[in-house]
Amino acid sequence: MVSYASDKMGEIHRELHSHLPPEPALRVKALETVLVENGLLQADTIDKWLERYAEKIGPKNGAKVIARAWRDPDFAARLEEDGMRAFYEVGMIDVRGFALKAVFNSATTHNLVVCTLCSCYPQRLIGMSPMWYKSMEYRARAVRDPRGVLREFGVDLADDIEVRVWDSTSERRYLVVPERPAGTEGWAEEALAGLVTRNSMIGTHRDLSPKTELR
Amino acid sequence: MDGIHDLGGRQGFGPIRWQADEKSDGFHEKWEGRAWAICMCMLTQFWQDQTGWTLDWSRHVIERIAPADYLVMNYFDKWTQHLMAILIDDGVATVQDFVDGRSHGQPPARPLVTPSPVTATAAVRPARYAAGDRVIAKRNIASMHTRLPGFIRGHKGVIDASHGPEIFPDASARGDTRKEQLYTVRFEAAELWPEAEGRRDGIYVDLWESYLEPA
Repeated sequence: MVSYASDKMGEIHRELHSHLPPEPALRVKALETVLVENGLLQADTIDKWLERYAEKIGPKNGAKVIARAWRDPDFAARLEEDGMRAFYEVGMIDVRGFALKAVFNSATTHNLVVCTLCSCYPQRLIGMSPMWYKSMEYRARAVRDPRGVLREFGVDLADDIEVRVWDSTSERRYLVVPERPAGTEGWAEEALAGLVTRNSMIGTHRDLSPKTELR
Repeated sequence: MDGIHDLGGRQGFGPIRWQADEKSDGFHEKWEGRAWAICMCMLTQFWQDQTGWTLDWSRHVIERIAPADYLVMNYFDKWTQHLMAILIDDGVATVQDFVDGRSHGQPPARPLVTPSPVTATAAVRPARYAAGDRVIAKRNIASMHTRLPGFIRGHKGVIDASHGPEIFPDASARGDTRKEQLYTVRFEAAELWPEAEGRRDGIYVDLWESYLEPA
């Protein structure tokens, strides 16, 4: 039965950390084996989960929503009002349990998303976050030195552009909606979606012009 | 508790190593995807009503990784170790099981039925603040686990939006899923950081009502 005892958990961690095999792949194997042997997990559950995840979840879902919002102002308004509903409209079904706030970049505003306390990210919609998003460096620096962080990603913001950093401390999730790049008038949704990068949905890529190198 | 995980605004970290992530789906090694899948399957199959494993208990167990280890461990390795710790705490596996990579048959496999002290039905107080209200983030919080980051404590902010009642993490980490009013609060970068003087940048943090006092 769960103890909710904080210090006990610290002790268990210390014990595990000093006795587990040094190779992380072996530790994961040990975890899965014990779960299956103890009857808590069926042998094929993990393979099925990974298959489904690879098929259904990924940055392309976010790219599709953003491209549609660029083409359809009504859809953009609905995305701003209720981000989850917009994902539902493009065919995502399992979106219960948290709210999604879409934050829109403009000529005068740039948005950046972080989770300083852990690693919150709309991963059920747009897949696993990149490793840098979960790094100690990004979590520490994004709220304090967002312009310096952005420069490292090649985004050099003019002083008069306001930076808004969103720290994902609750179960609400954040998605940056980049600006539609110039020169894409008349483009179809699919072509537009091809311009939207994972980093642009977090806020570390700003200019999605077809000419710039894809990030 | 004021743990090592509360990284926002800490200085001395180096550049963000992001190029390595560009072509990745978020998993750099096969075992990383597997570790993630195991954690997601377990935490969704055995949800809090059945086991008492609330999201915030899970978060707190990660926070209790020894501070020096927390800063250097691979992200998915942390998740692996945290699930092991949860299972050991619950009495359904032992440290030795994971060290040896097999179940020793004790404790016997059993369904994880734990009536947790859930008080989700408790009445939620009406919202005390509305958009535009000035607030101060509390300086100290006695909770075992909290989502009040250190970098805003004692600072003034303005309510940007009111979201209604959401599960209160500080109670949820102890298995009590009562709700409390949730707000997004904007803090001026210039109010938080001396080096941001003169900037119009803002940091938005989602905060529960008990984290706030009227300014």
